[in-house]
Amino acid sequence: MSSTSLPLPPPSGDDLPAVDLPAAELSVELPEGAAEREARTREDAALALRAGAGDAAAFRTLIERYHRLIYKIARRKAGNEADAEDIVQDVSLHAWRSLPKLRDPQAFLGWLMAIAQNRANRFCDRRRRKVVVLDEARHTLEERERGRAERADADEEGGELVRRLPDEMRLALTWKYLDGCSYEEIGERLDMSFHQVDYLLRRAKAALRREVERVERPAEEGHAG
Amino acid sequence: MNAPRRSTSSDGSAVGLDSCRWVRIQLPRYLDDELPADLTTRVSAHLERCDACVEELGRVQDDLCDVIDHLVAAEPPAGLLARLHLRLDEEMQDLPLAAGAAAQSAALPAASPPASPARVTSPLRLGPRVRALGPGLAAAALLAGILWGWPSGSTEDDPVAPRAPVAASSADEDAASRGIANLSTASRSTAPGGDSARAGLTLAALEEDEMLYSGGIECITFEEAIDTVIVGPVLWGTQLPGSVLSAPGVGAAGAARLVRRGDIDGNGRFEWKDLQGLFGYLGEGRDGEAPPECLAAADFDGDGVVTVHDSVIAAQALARSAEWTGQAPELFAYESDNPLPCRSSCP
Repeated sequence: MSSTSLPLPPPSGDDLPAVDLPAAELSVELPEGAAEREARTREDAALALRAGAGDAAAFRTLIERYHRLIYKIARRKAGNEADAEDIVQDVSLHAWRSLPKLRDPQAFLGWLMAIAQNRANRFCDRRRRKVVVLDEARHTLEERERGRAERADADEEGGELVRRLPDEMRLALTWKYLDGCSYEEIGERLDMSFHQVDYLLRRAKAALRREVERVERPAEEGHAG
Repeated sequence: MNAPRRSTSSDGSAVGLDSCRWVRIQLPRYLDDELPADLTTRVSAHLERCDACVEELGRVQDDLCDVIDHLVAAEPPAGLLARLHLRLDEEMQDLPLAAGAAAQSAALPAASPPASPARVTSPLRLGPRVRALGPGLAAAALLAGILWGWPSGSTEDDPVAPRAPVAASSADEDAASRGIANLSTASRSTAPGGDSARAGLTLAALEEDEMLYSGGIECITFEEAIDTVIVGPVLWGTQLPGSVLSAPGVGAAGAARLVRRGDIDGNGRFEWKDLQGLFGYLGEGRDGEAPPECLAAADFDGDGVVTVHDSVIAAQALARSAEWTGQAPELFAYESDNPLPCRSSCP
């Protein structure tokens, strides 16, 4: 991957900036080289290990790297900005508390994503089933409607490249990486075996990568020219 | 999970376990947590020693980030990271050393996920329909909760311990009293003996255990609550795990934090007296809003409303707490004129 803005650059130390920066400023291009990618992946694992041992700065660094990813998962489920932010906070705190239980630091990103998907699902379930008084219920409905409209906008915008994918691929990617479905669950929905789902997801990611490259290459060439 | 024990490459040839080629085939499933535990261990061990495969793992992760980036266009709002840091500051003050939790967890049964920092809904309100609950119904909820949640006989491996059904007539106070009397007896017979260290952890676990905090029972509607009380453990048995409070705690800091939830009368302890007051409040149908700091302690499921559901969770938590600490709970006697015994500012 050459141009993704996730994750963020490596941390510098224990003193993290207290000020907030727009996501665009925090995002930098990932290193191109394999050695850098390897170093970054190793560093993630080391940070996760340190964070699991109680190193708050290490954890903050990981969160700075991946909060945008968490937000996107949350936003998709919540449908509105406020709830998505609550979910991001929830996921971060949950991850901090649960890090001592992380068995494989090298799989930190997958672990964090699973937490984000689960907590977002749980949040939305709870919201749906909440006991509310009537005026609160009305307010919730209005919020939900608003959220739905926002989500539709976001989907419209975000799905541009994804929409070029065949339906099965698009659905499988969404179910797996935003909704947190297992391969088995996706297989049930698409009437596929575990291995077919595995293969479908691999092809979908490859197809999306090709689409991204196709869109970015002319832009880069134009910029260079 | 159905991941294969042996993989084949694109040309159909077999790929040996633990080879780089095999590991790279597994990486997407590894990251998706779709590998069986033994294969996950193999992949992980290989990654420890193989830089090339770690680089490939980085590539798979980048693909994953790209996917999510393109699936959702919405970007985080300005200031999200700053607010997140502030929230983490608060959390880390409470739990400065996660390692401490890990060390304590190791000595106790497997942990459940911790609590959620649900957005505070303030002031908290007593659900109006729940206010209409009579004392009998509230007591019945306690009975049903205790009967379902009483931990004797349930284990980590037996999350849905079968319970004897409760008849609809259990919604009267006599039945509730009997149930509570049984609880008292049961606690004496199952309590493992006093252990002050465990007692502290138990307190922490009350909040840290997701099943407890989030309901384990989830947030049910009023109608569902009624159904639950009437149908009792039959329904619950199908919905809920049997072990409500299975998690080890997070140490003294967590315990101190926990006291806020459940410690309705603000005396620093979560005990039957708190539950008694909560039931009195529910049963009385008291109007108006209590100060948030009072009802926050009673809002066990964190949904911003104090309902009979919260009292059921509280009852289960206390029952389990009694087992852990070895202290037999006092015989609970419902007093209809018992107000919510929170701090002096409480109505």
